[in-house]
Amino acid sequence: MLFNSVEFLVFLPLVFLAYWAIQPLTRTAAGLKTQNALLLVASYVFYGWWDWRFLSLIALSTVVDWWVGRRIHASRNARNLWLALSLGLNLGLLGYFKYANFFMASWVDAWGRLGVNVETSTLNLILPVGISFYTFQTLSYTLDIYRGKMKPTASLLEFAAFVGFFPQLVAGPIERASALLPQIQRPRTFDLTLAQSGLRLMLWGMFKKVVVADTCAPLVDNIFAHHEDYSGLTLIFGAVLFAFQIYGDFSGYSDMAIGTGRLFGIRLNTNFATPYFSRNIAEFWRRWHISLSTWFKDYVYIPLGGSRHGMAQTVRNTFVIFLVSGFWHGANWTFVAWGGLHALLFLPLLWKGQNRKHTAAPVQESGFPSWRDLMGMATTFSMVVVAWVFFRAESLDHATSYLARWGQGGLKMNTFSAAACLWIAVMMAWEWLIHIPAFRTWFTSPRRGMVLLRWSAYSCCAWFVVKHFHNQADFIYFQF
Amino acid sequence: MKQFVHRMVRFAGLLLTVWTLGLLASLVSPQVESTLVAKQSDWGHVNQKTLEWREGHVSPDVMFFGSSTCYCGIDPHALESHGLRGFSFCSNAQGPQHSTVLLEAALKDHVPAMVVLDLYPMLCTAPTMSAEPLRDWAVNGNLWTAPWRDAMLTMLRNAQDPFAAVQMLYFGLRNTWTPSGDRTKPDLHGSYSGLGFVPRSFPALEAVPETTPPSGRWSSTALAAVDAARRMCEQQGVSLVLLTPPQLVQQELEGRPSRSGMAWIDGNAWPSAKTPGFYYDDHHLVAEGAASYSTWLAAELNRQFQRP
Repeated sequence: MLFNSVEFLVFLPLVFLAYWAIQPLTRTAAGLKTQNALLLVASYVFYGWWDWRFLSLIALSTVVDWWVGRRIHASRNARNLWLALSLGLNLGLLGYFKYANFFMASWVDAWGRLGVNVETSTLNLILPVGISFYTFQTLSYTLDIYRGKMKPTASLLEFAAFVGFFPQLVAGPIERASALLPQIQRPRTFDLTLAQSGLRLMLWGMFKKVVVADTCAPLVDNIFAHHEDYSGLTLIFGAVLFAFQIYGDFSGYSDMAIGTGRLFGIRLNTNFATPYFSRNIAEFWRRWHISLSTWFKDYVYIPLGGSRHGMAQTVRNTFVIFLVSGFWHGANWTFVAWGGLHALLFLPLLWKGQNRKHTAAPVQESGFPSWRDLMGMATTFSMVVVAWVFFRAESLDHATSYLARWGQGGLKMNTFSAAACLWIAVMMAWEWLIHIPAFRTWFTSPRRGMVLLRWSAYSCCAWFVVKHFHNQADFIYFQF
Repeated sequence: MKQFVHRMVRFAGLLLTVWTLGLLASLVSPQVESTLVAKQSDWGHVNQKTLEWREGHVSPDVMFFGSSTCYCGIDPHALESHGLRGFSFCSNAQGPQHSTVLLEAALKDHVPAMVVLDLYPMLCTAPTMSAEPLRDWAVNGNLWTAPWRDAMLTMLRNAQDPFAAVQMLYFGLRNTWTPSGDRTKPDLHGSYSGLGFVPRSFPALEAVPETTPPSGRWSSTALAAVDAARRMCEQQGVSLVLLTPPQLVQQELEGRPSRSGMAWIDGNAWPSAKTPGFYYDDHHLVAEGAASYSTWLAAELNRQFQRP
């Protein structure tokens, strides 16, 4: 089920009402169980709406990891074996469904380059939606138990509700068991402020997806598909549009997921923090897809030694996480190249020791950035846009051919969309404004006039969401 | 929770007020209308063809349903040389799912001898009903009474496009008060020549474009729509003809409907189907191409009429 679908508009209020109708019972253990069971059923309906057959994969992953978690905790000698089982199952499922065809094709291609003709058939596989997200979520559970950072849950129902929690099941944020599971385990009380902020976030996320990203999408598709016919300036425009498309699409989904979670009294972690206002690449990665970046940092980078064993090992570890992160996105060399390019852009900061610079919010008290910050933002955004070309391209040849044409055709623009530019400007301006403390205080003031103004603004936002609602395009990150 | 519901109701009230104010402002200002609701357009001339149908002077022997390949490629006037009259109910991106719903309405107005479903292949792969033709009919159409209103509501339900309901309501009311006239965006490359036909004046191609023909599969909903059209026509004793429009770069779909009970004409059998000078892109005909193709198609349809 898509957030931007009529089915979801019916599904959400029904689940919401049933969920809070049970709430008075949750003071008892049986009541809480009923509420969690409802959450689980709703989550499986939400996922099964897409393809019910793949529910078996989630169920398998859930049951095995719940059981393995308990075994790891109870065992003294066989902990490594149990962990290997969890890793084997989750990475095995991911590898089979997501990477099997890629590895086979790469194998044939590698031999082909040596002049050897290897014949193999490809598997007719459908990639289960969200598999990259929920396998990482369950893996974090077993890994945290293995590392003694948390205790396993005795309740399979609670664990299944944690893995399957529908707002973030198919495209994140990738929640850690240590953050989400305790919220599932304790009774939730309805919090008016939290629910209202959830609705606001859902509306804003829907706006970013339906209005901004889906307006950019057809233009981006056209420019990337026919890049040979377009001038360099048009191709740059296409890449910039894609940067905003993927931001609107993915951060929009995250906002809707977090907002939906809040309606159910559950707080999910922030996944995006105005990444395009970053002043260097390191800051960009602290602000873009935060739940994945921190996952790789905690479960790959730090276990590999992090930055504790000299520059050479730090560089190696940096490359490892960027390449693996790229590969996580999809079975294509373009994603690996995208990750590799980001690693290269990160290196100068590592050498200069500036990778931990700019940890404070980019939006200043006054609302205006310094020239230095502004230059940093423009440079970082430009580098990110170049890297996005690899992410969006069908193949490495496509990406290099696209980039090679950037200098051609002078200032000629073959295609342009004032509407897309307008909506991007609205999105970015709002994200800047709302982070200025004075504006935030003014806008969120409880005065009657301000409430009216605020609600009118939400009504206008809702109007444009409904107007653009017909696209019902899939979210880009569903394919990962 | 009570407070939450109370606030939601208050917000819904304000939302309706703001939206109503927006619609009222649209009535006054064309700029506001095109930003908030939609800009009426001559593209495809749904406005003219629905007006012509509403006037009731047409009682065609052949009714055409389909997309832009149909309204700019098939000139129903060509049937007149065979003593037949035609009318085209085609609009932009109108797939078999939309055509069947419109056919049902049209058959309640008038029962022709033959119905032609123009099936541009890529529109038959869509799993759901797209919103574009619905919005075209809602914004530019002039048929607001039953059975057309029911057809629009059916499309609205199937396309799951809530805003089309707002557009239908708004333009349904607005068209009764003010003529669209100067608020309509003109079609600079197509003029309405009656019976639903819009000849195109784009520059013709000089060579076949180098594109890989897309492939795909008939969607189950498109198959069901064709089947529903077949049943409707059978009940009314109308011949149904399925027509693949001519394309310079031919697309092939898998899993097409069974031929039983229906005639199938392949527009690619038209002798000039691969002449670039008759097209302005790989599947839309310019006026000269449409004239030649329509003459050929009229003879083919006449042959269908002659069949026992």
